[in-house]
Amino acid sequence: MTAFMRRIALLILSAIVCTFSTPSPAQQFNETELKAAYLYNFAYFITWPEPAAPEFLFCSYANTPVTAILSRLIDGEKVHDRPIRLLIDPLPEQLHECHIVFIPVQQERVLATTLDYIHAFPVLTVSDIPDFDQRGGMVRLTTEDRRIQPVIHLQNVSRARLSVSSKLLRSSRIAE
Amino acid sequence: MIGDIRSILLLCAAFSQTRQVHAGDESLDRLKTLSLQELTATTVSLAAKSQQTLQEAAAAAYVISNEEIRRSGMQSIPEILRKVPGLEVARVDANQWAITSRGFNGAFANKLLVMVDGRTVYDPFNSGVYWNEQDYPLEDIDRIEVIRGPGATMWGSNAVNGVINIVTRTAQESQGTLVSAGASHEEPGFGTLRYGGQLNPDLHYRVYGKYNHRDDFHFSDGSKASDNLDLGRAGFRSDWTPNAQETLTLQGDYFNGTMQQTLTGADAAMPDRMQKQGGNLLLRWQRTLANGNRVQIRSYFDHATRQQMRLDHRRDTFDFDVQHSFHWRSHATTWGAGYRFNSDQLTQKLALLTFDQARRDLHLFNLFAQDEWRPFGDAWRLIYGGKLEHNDFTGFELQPTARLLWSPDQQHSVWAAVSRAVRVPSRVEHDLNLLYNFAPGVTTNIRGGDSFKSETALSYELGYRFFPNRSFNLDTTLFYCDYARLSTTEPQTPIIGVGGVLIPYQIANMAQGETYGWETALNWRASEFWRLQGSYSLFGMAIHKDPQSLDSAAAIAEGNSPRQRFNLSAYINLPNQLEFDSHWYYTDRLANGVSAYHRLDLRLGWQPSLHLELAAGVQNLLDNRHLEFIPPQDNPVLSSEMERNYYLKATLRF
Repeated sequence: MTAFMRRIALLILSAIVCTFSTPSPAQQFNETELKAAYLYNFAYFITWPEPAAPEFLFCSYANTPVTAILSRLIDGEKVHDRPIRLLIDPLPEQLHECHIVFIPVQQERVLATTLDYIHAFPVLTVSDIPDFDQRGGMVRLTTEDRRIQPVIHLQNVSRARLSVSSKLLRSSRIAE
Repeated sequence: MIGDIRSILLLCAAFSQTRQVHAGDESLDRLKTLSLQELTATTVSLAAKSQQTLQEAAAAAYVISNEEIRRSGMQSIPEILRKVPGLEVARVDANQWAITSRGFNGAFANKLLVMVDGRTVYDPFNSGVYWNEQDYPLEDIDRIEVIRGPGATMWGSNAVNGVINIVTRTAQESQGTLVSAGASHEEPGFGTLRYGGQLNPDLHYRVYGKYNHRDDFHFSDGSKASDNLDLGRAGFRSDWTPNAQETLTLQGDYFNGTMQQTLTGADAAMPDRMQKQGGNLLLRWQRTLANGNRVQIRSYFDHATRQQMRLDHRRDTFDFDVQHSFHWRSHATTWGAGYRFNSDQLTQKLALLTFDQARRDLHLFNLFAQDEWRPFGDAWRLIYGGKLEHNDFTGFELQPTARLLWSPDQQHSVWAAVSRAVRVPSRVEHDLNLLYNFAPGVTTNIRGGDSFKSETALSYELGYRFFPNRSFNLDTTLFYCDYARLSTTEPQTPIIGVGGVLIPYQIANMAQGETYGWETALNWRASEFWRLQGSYSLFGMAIHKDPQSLDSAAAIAEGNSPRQRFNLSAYINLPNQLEFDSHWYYTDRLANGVSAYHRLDLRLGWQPSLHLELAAGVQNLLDNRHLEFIPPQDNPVLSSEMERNYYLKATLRF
């Protein structure tokens, strides 16, 4: 390429890059952050059967950016006066102690095993796997039309003796 | 140039980083205080996967997920593609495949464009894909997107019959150590080692190494073929997400290996040992602007050298492209521009095979725009656009498309499309000069030339999708495609000399043709533990030579594609963390002499803990071995037979 063309190319490039680099004024969140925020909210809008454990335990798997954001969101927070703790990559025998388990789409391979271990325990299962609710899961996070929405499978939720607040139900879709 | 680009990108990225450095915690505090209603109303700035949902695509699209790759039991990318409806996948020998979509198959099928993370692996030298060089740790492939039919408006020339895009996971999605190793009858040893880590919460990376050894197959007479492969590769990927709107990805790979093939010579078959190495480096910057508008800049460098008995080939490619998507009124527009520089060096090893120029530099420019317009709400979408390209062989090429999608409700959608795509001449078609001793005293001379034009295709598609509920979906497509200026080899007036007769052949565009077919795929989750997937395709083609054409080979393409193919896969989860998967593939006979074959694969997987996975299986259970493809005359590779194969594999993650 000639020096002239190179200069033109660089000029166009700088113009494009620097124009588009101006941060947009409105607060924006990406998919990861919104999914983590939903998870965080579920702790307040779901009721677990008594007796309450001394701490609120979130369980999630690595290899998803959601876990990292979630750990920053819950840092120092409390649910009904109970401190929140995050357990990353829980062992199978630890799974039934979790209040919420997040199985990200990146870890689809462990889905069946995980659901098998927590079967019959009051643990809320959340995932962004596309057919999660058909596979025995409770809350699926779906991205449609640039919005994240929870899809709740009520039968799977009530089977685990959990109850969903009406406020959360109003902001969610109910799975058939 | 690359240095300049990188400095601009880093500078701008760093600039926006400094302005937002304190915003991180504040934005998290803000996120925490969002009410449920606000959460539902907030739009996503940067979607992790930009892919549209299947229902929204106005094209014959199919996606193979990471989980389907894992449960296929396949150990190579080309084999994984077998399940895609309408895609023809045939094994030529132990390390070569003939893969195409909608006809014109060959070991270097020239109408299918293949990309890895947006980097084209379609080689302009011979217009094809070296499938035996394409590999990746399968655990780190996020998905393989396949679009059948033309995709030239978005992806450029040579995306005539289809586009395959292999998309790898981000570094953040592949953290930790992964060790996988296995052995099979066909592949006595294969192994992958990957480590993913983070330098800071916004900057993740992974590095990997992979090694494969594939054994020789056998010919139909039972004798051993010379077609083994030894291939090692290593690579890395790093993703930097300084804020919610931006990502910067740098990735690269290197491979080095030897592979053999058996060539059919004038008098005897001879083994040909190929030595190959190559590498690439890719930089991609994406930024989301207000209202979900986005801009992407991508640049890569790709190098390959291939040493063979007949020819040494070295190629360097530099590519740079910019894409910008924005919304206005009821429109969503994407436009962009790109430049590709391709330089090759051919070293002749036989006096009989020469090229017009041993070294050639080719420049390719393109400009494209595509608009999605929803004039009456969401039920109707009109997608139209075009790509204008300039290449050094045929000049300007225009590749337009118009697509209409109608989704009357949540359960049905219908789409129709008309598109034009071109396949530009390869280096071989432009510059080849091959002498071949046809018989004692008779020599043929095949020559390429400047008069060879692009092959063109005008394609008409009609698709229907049915989603009665979330556990079942059906996707079906009808297509008809009209080809013009197809490649032929025209004999010229023989030259009678002292040593005998010389028959010159000129590569020309003296044929037309049409293809038509029906492709259908269904997916049914029968229960929580049981999932079924099936596909069926019916295909037909006819090639017609111009009246003045004397070509004898153009119609061979008709014999290289099966009329029918189907696949049925069942995925079953058993108690005790066991998985049982079965895959049944059927391919109809090929008119050129390959018999129809069934292939049954079974896999048993066990995950005793979340860190360990064991799998055992058998491929091609029903058959000792079978032939899948016979390369046409112009590719003198002797094909060998696909054998029954038992495998064991262990994967450890920690």
